[in-house]
Amino acid sequence: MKRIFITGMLSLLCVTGHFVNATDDIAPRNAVQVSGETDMDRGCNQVFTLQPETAFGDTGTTPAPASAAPAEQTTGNDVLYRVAGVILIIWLAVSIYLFTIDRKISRIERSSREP
Amino acid sequence: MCGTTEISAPDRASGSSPGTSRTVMKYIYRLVYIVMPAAIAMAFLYAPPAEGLGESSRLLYFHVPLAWVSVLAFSISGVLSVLFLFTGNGERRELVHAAHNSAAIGLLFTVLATFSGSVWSKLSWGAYWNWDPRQTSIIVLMLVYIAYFSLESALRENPSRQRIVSAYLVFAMVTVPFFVFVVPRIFPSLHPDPVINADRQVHLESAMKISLMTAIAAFTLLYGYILNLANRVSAINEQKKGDLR
Repeated sequence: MKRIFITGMLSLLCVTGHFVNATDDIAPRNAVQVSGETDMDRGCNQVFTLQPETAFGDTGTTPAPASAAPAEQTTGNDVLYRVAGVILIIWLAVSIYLFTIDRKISRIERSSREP
Repeated sequence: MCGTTEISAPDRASGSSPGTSRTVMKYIYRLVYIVMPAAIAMAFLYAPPAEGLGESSRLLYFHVPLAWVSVLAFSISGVLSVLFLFTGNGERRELVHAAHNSAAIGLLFTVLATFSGSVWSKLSWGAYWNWDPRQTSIIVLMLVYIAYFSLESALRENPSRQRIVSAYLVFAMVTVPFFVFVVPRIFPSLHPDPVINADRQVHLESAMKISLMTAIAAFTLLYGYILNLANRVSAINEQKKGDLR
């Protein structure tokens, strides 16, 4: 049980450490920016800059935000794949450990049943 | 019972394999090798991020199942203790071992749930720990079960140890709903409405709900598998002790 506990704790430490770093990479599109500008501020700025264009009846798209979004999304997806990969590798290690224990116990059970 | 694979006297005498249901359960628990990777993949690649919480909401698929398994493990340890106390005149020692193993796994999963919760708290609220009612109640619950292991160690030489620790586990089980479901609802909390809430509805969109259910199934299978392994080890130890006597 002690070994299972230690393995679990170490796995979770690795996972959460990686996860915190990963979400730091993604953080700019979620929450407060380092510069103090929030998503709401950015949204408000975009709204105010768009207003004159719409006022003159120009309904064309604004190229700058459209080009920035896919780049951010790609980075986010890459991080997600990496985090999922790391967790799957940890699970692989844990499952190999559990399977080995299972086999050892089965062997002992078989030998104890034999006369 | 709950993956208990104690080799019974007739089985040992005849040299036959353990019961079919136990063997079936053993194979069902091994499904964890397939379901867990699926749950991990779904958590990151299938479920969308929650609105307002962003990518950190993916911790939901690990934190909630861990908490669920903790409650399940503590409940099962309490039920097994009740069975030991009220059936078989205290002769069914495998029940005490199973209850002990379940409590140990429950404590492990509680620690992991607390750890994942504090990381999520850091990402959402800005601090790892802020004495939210749910955080406080989980710490008290952990202390209740740590006290169980201290009690069990202290009574190693006592002939009534199994009855005393079983009675304590029943008492501990009674406190679980209070600390998990009642306390966080009495005091104002930053913690969001739990999955099992007053509305009796899971407030998640379908992809998130499917991912969460898969994760809960995976962690429940993992609990069953570890409990099964631990019970088999306990049975072997008991058998060796019997042979030495």
